[in-house]
Amino acid sequence: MNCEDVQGLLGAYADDELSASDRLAVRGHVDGCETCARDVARIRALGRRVQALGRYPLPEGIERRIAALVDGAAQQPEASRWRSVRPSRIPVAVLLGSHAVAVLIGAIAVIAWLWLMPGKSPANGGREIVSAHVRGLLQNQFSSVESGNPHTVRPWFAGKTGFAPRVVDLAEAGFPLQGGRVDHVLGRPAAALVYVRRNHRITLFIAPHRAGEADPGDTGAGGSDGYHVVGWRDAEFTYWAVSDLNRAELHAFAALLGATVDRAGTRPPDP
Amino acid sequence: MRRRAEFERLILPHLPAAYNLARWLTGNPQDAEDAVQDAYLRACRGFDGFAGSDGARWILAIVRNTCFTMLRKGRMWRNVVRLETARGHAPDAIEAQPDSAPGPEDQLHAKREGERLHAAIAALPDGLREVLILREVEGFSYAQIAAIVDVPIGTVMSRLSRARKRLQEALVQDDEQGRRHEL
Repeated sequence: MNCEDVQGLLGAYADDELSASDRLAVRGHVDGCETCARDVARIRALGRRVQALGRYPLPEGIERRIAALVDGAAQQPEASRWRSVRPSRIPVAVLLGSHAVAVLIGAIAVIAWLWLMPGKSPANGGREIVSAHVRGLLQNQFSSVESGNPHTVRPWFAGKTGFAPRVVDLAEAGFPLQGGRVDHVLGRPAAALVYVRRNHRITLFIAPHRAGEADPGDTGAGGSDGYHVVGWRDAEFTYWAVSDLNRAELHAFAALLGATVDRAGTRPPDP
Repeated sequence: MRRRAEFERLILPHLPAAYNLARWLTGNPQDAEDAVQDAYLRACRGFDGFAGSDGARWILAIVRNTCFTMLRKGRMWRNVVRLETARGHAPDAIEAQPDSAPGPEDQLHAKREGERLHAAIAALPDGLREVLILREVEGFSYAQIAAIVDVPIGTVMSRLSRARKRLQEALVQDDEQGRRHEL
């Protein structure tokens, strides 16, 4: 064997990955060739340097988060557990402050309206999404897990719902994540993520697909009562974003999530 | 999941390797943890289909596929911060290196060396970077790497030698530049 013959094999030789016969042949050449011997030494030295870099250290608490995720995926949610998660009383604190009062009055109006017009709810469930959003606003805490850290919120969901949607913080884009809770929309458990834009809260409901369900699209729901619902789906989940935020900004929000959450290529509809 | 205990024994312990690979492939800690969480979720859902004994190989294959899916489907918007990594400024790996208490100058030199090497690895194409990390940091055999990356062993061999070649060239270039700076 000459230098040209062994050139392509030096790496595997340095790694001790050659078959016995190849190894012997390469060694026969390398032992007598200073250049190739130096190449082998160089490959090994580089390997030691890369190895010395070591692994990236694990982020604080990741083991706990992964364990929570695994625990969550291991258990199937029971319908009864859902309801108990949601606090039902309206606390006094919410009644304080004019903003909260306004929210409350608006919410009651919407709920009353929804209550009175059950026959008209559209097939895509926009009304129900709005009322679930409002229900969230009425609660003491907007979220059961209060954290702006997606990596904490996600395993929490896995434990509560048995599925774990990707959670992204959009603080840099002006939609900080406030937290999450579990809810029940359109007859199934859903993760509800709460984001804020100025004084407006946005609830993002995420639930696994149901067979045969159509792409929700922009329901335009509640155009008259000031709530907008935008829906879309990806390979695994259906999403609804609902808020009293103006429609353009809600679409911008959905687009951000479409770009991050949605990996299947479906984009939220344009306004 | 019925085989929870087995999952804990065979798959969970590989978290450090899984995170390290994801961190190198995604280029930032947020996406890396996202990918690892995703991968572990998939892994425990699909664990009933895992019959082998090489848990490391299995979970790392899932991790790298998750990372590449993430990268392919468009980098997340927050990846604008990746520029930093691209410039070789990725202090979290370097600074975590244990000091064996050499003098301050040695330390500085070692740190600079480490940073240069780090930057050179970060600059490798994804496909070369992953085989290099799997080989040199994780110490996998060619056969294991071939299984993780899902390519023939010959491809692993050639990617690895290309990775090493590029790395060596980059480091030599760096050395020359460094010398010119000192003059």
